[in-house]
Formats: sequence, C-alpha cells, structure tokens
Amino acid sequence: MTRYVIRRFLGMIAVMFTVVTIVFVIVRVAPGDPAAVMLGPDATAADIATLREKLGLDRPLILQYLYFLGQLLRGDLGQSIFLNMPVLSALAERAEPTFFLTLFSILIASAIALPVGILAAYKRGSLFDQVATTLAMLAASIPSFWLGLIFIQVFAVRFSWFPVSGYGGPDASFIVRLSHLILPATTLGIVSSALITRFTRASMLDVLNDDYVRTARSKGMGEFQVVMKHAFKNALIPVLTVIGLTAALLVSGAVVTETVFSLPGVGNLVVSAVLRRDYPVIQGALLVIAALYVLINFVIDMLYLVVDPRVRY
Amino acid sequence: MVITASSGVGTGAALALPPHVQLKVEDLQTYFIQGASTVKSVDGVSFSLSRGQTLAVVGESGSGKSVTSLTIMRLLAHPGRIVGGRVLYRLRGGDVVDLAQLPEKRMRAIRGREIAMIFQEPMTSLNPLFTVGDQIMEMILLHESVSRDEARVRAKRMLELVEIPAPERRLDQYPHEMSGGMRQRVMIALALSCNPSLLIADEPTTALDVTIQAQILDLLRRLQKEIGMSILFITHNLGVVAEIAHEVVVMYAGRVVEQGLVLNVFERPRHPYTRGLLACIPDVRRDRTEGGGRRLLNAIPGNVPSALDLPTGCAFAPRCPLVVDRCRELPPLIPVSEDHLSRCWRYDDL
Repeated sequence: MTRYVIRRFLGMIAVMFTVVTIVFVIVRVAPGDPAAVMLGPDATAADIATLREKLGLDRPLILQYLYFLGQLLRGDLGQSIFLNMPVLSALAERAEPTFFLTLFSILIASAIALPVGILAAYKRGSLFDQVATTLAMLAASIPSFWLGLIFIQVFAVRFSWFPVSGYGGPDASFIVRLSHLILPATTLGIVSSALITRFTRASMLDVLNDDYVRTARSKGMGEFQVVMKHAFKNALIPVLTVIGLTAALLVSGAVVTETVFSLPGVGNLVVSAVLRRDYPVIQGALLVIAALYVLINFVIDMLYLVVDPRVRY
Repeated sequence: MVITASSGVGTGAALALPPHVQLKVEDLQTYFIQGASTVKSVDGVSFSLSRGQTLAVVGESGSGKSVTSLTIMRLLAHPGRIVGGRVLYRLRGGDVVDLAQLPEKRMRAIRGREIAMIFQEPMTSLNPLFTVGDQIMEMILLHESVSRDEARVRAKRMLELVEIPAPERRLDQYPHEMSGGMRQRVMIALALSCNPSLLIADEPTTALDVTIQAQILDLLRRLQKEIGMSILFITHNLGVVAEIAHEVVVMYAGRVVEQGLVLNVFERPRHPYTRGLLACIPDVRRDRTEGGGRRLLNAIPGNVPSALDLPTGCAFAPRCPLVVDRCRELPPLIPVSEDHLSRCWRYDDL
C-alpha cells in the first residue's frame, strides 16, 4: 500500500516535470520574439535587446531552462506584463471562483448522474431507462455556453432568482459570491452529468449480473441493499475515473462558462492573457491547470485504494 | 422416501407434508417467456427431499437443474417465472409453506435463514470489496438480533467449523487473498451461519481441483451429520452423486427422466441417458490429467436439443441407441420398481 502511494506520487512528479518541460519548449519555439511582442511594433532594436537581457533570453537555452526550473521550485511563475503583479498572485486571486465552480459542478453532476444511472441499469429496458438514456445523450450534445445563456435569460433576467453575471464584486460576502455560482455550476453540472450517467449505467449493468450479487440476494437481503452495498460499490471504480476526468476537464473547460457568466476565474484570466499575449500568465496558467489535472488524478488513484482492497501493488 | 409422479397433485388443500419431508417439489414448471418464444426450462418436475438427506439433481447444462434450484430460492432472473406447480417447504416452526406462492418479503426472511445456497464459482461468488468476516457477519446480522461482536464470534466459529486454519486472521482477509478451495469453504461457512434446514449446493465442486473437490465433499458430509440439514445437490457429475447423495433425480431438457435411490439407479439404470452418463464416470487419475468432467458428456453422441426446438415425444430420442417408433410419444414417469421411476418405454430392456 505504501509502495502504491509512493509510486503514484513519483508518477505525479514525473508527469509534472514533463509538463513543465513541454511548456518551456512551447513558449520558446512559438514564432516571434517574446521581447519584441511585449514591446510592440514601435520598439527599437536596442530596447528589445535590453529587455531580452533583462528576461534572460540572451543566454543559452539550457541555462534558461535551468533558471526556469529554479524559479518554479521557489514558487515564482514570473511577472505578468499587463497586470503589473506576479503571475502567482494573479492566479491565486482567480482561483476561488474556478475552484468552487468545479466543485459544485461535479457535485451537481454526480447528484444527477449516480441515482439516474443506477436506476436506469436496475430497470434496464424500462421507460425510465429509455428516457434517461435519451436525456443523457441530449445533455451531452448541448453546448454549455448555449445552456448558460438560456439559464441567464430565464432564471436571472426573467425571474431574477439569481444574479446575471460576475462574482459580486470585491466586497461581496461568501454567500453572495456563492450565489453567483449557482447558475454556472448548474449549467456545467447538467452538461457533465451526461457522461457520468452513461458510465454509471454501463458499469452497474456489468456488476448486477455478477455472482456475488446473486450471493447477496441468496442471503435474504433486500434489493436496495443488494444494489447499493454489493453492486454499486463494485461499479464505483470506473465511475470514479470518469468523475475525476470530468473534474479535470471542468478546470480547463471552465474558460467558456466563466466567459459567459463573466466570472473572474482562472479561465477568464487565460482568455484575456491570450488576447493580450501576456506570455508569463499563459505559461503560469498552463502549469497550474496541468498541476490541478495531475493532482485530481492522484486523488482518484488514492480513492481506488479506499474502495478496492485489491489495489495494493 | 416418497416419490411422486408428475401431475395429479390436488390444489386448494391445506398445506401439509409427511413429518420426515423437508422439501417437496410438485409438478414444477418454470418458463422463460420473451415475446412469442417460450423456453420450458423446467417442465413438470417433482421430487421430495427428506430431512437430513441429500438429493442430487443431475443433468447436462441446459437440463434445467440450476433453474430448478433458483426457482426454489425464487431468484430467477427476468424473464423466468413459475408457471405452475408447488414448492412445499417445512419451516423451522413446523409450518409448511408453498415457496412458489410466497410474497417476496416473506421469501427474504427464508433465504439465508431457512434455505441457504452455495454456488459453482467460489472465485466470484464472494464480493471482492468486503472482508470474509464482514460477509459472514452480514448474513448473521441480517437474520438475527445479535451485536456485531457476537456476530464476529459466530463468524469465527463458522470458519473453524469448515476447517479454515487461523480463523481470527482470515476474518479480516479479502477473498482475493484466498485459494478457490478456501473460498468455497468460506461460502459454506457463510451459507451455514444461520443454521439453515436446507442447503442448495449448485455445482459446488465443479470449478475446483479434484483433490479439493474430495475435501469439500467430505466437509459437506461431515457438516450434514453434525447439523442435520438436508442438501439439494446440483451437479453434472455422477461420480460426485455416488459419493454424497442418497437419492438422485436425472434431468434432461427440463424433464425428469429417471429418479430413485442412488443404490438402485447406479446398480441398474433404467433410462438410456442415465446409462450413458454412468458408462463414463471419469476415473480420478485420468480425470486429473485430462482436465475435467466435461469430457464425460461428450461420450454420449449428439448434443442436448435446443430448448426452443424440442423434439416431440422423448427429448432424448435423437441421441438414443434404443430409439423405437413409440418414442415419438412422450413416456410418463413409469414406476419400474419400488422407489424407482423411469421415463423410457424400453425400461425393461435396460
């Protein structure tokens, strides 16, 4: 077990190292001189040279790489060109909405998908199963920005139940900030629930015919307990994987939803950084999103350990 | 022992069984009905099982033997259902109930507590995510109002009963940490943990190594003597029948073709199918090197007919060396001697 945890942890480090290297290379091989881009078309050659020296771009690539790694190890992601603050602080400032948006979206998606998927599998072929499967397909094909706009139109504009956009401003209380997340989280939750529903259903169908489920019934156990305790726990492993991947996708995919709902999250920051060619911010955001991705996968791996006693290698 | 021929059973009478009888299946019909097609998996099967005795139901796959056991437990998968017949069972209190008619809720109180079951695949019959102890305790806690600590003590005692070494340590192990034979012992411990009056063993030794098979059969025999339960033993292996059963029911394509005391049936089989099965009981040494009893079935030419397309008359006729014109008419179960029935017109030529 300890070996399993250590192996996963080392794996995580290796993946992060690879990601860091790829990000470094991409930024260096991208067309255009960052210094020239930063200074704009009116800069003189001398200005560009000075900035290149300041940014360390005149040094050999290998030294730049080592310097970049050293900075990262000290938690320094560089300085934003436009925001006039360290990239790390800019990201940290934007982390809260993205974090809670992802969390609530996953909770809503699971709250819809798990019961529906379990029941659809249990009543395979029934009307409920057919309706659920069809709705799941429909939900999967809805673009989240479209659903978001519909929600804003209906629940925020027409009924005024929820705020239209934003995050309540700098002085808003936690409750007010969270109220701004209800519509976007519901939007993402519904769209993400489709895949989780289908996986839950398929996984449950697999295990419901397993011998130990029959054994549980032969003990005289009620159907609810048979399904929830004996079948569902076994079906959970592939489902956990999909929930994890969905969460990781949400972190990176929140870009669109955050834009629709004008949430000042990481996604929003990335969009504006790309538009302004704020390279250090793009680079930092890439790293943070990748790190979150890897971290979520690590958490899922650890959850396997809790669920399945056979995972011990 | 009482053997009833199929059909001719009165309905509406108060449910009663002779005092020595634990289970009596009367003209049981279990069909799988899907749309226009009907598979008569069990078609008019009758037998009775006395207290403390072992009855073996023998047949190839598709003969309806497993469906019979699942029908008794009322664990049929959709679209299987009981179309006719009765399953009379004597409860611990002495009352007789018809399991075929019992509401699901009462049936749940009987499963595990009154009738327990063990299965063919010890590798998959236990839930991989729970410890062996949890799975045995779950059964005890389900049917009896005891504390968890008490249930654990009972579970440990059950593991001792089935001769598992170091039971205290084994309680906290998961199924994947045990061998197949060990897991089947755990299944037996689980099944017997509430002292059932009837144990249904559905091919419990088929998936096991021959040496382990013998150990499990020994164990079942010993436990039957100690606990006094009746055993309904489902198998395709007549060699196993000789070792464990008092009576035998031979099934073919959903019907009983021969039944009687093991001694009588083995001494003089009165159905060509039984004779064919007996002719090829595998020798233990040969069986181990060639890997199994499956070969046994190939010794009879041809295959079990499709349940969707049964021949009219005797279902065994297409494979039968003694077939005559009359076999196009289905023979009834004919009493050939005391306590011995055969569904063959030519029982006297055998």
